[in-house]
Amino acid sequence: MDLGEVLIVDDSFTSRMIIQRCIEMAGFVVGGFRYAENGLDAIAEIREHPLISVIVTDINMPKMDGQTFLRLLKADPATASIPAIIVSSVVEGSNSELHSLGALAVIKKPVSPAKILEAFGGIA
Amino acid sequence: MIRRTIGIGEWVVSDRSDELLETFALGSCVAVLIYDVKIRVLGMIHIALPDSAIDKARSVSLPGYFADTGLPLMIEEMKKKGAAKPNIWVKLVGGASVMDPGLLFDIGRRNIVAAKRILWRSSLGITAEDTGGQISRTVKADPSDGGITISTGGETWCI
Amino acid sequence: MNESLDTTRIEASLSRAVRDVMAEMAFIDAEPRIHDPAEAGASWESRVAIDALKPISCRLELRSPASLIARIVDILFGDEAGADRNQGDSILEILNVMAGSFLADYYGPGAEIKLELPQYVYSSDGEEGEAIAVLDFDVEGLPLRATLSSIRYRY
Repeated sequence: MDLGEVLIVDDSFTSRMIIQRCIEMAGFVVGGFRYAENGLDAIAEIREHPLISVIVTDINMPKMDGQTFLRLLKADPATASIPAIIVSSVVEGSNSELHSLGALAVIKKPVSPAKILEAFGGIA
Repeated sequence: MIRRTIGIGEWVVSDRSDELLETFALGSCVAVLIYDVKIRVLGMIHIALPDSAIDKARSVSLPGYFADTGLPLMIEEMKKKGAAKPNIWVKLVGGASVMDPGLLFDIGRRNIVAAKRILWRSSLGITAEDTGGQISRTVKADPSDGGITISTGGETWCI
Repeated sequence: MNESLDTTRIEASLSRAVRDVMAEMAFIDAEPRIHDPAEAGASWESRVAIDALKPISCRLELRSPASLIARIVDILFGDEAGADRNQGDSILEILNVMAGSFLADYYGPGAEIKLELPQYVYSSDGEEGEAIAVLDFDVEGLPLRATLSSIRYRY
């Protein structure tokens, strides 16, 4: 499956690398990877790179957390339809709060190719 | 249908539609199965121990006995037969816990970790696994469609 | 403040979290071993901690020799570019995932968990809380210590 450009948002270099490799190992063909260390930088990346077609984001980040980033993303008609997947070490409550942010799926870390396959299954 | 048995420390890479690969009594041992869905090539290895450093002689005579010697060789053979990402899936079976007070570590668990490490370093991701617990598993695999059947006692299931 | 904790369950949850995250994330086996207080003076060159805010106020700390960090980085990155620069980041992220895993294991899947960002700890400046659990591990020949403690000061 071709995914276009994927934006990975996580303050940890290790986590960004693991997520990227898991996406590649799961067999997805990606047009390219973009990276951001927090929600604020992620917004800038999306504005600069309109080919971003999938977002994978952490929640707990400095400057702007994942929840705020996703609310802003979904509030903007230009970006609201970009599928977003949450990757987090803490999956809060019953995921209902995170799903209400418009995320397609929530993955609890550690990430694996199997979890990526399941989460990305909802991407058309 | 020919039944081809893989013993401890052995591996097979098959592209034949007329044979079934099988391996028995995976207790703490681990079977790694790699399949290219496009060219229908299946590799299966039966690994007994994680690290060949404890027995260099055996790692030469029976490299599949150890994860660090056998698995890279099977992966290489798969590549030579044309297996390539993104058409590949990898599945892991076995690695049951063997509770022996004389053991310094849980061999089953160590085998699982060693196999995953080698797969990670080879940029191969596991898409399914049936591992751990305390059961001894038998695995049958069909190169014609990549079907994997696991059994223990009277029970059978697929992954 | 902290509710009364079941120390046996705490230790079991923490042990599972350490072993599972090291196996699934760093592809390295962590085997529990008997805690040796005499190792307090050992060369724990790497010391990282993360504070939890919910459902319990506590600190989870990992101590290890630098060689274990290097081993993990080598497994994860190999010769990949950027590995040297980001060596310190790996153990922080492992700790982050471990803390989430431990709290979910102890409090159950529906628990609301809030963590601060993981950080390196450089000195013991008297702010250490009371130790709730101290677990030692043999990580394929290298030592690792996980300590769960209360947090002395909270705002």
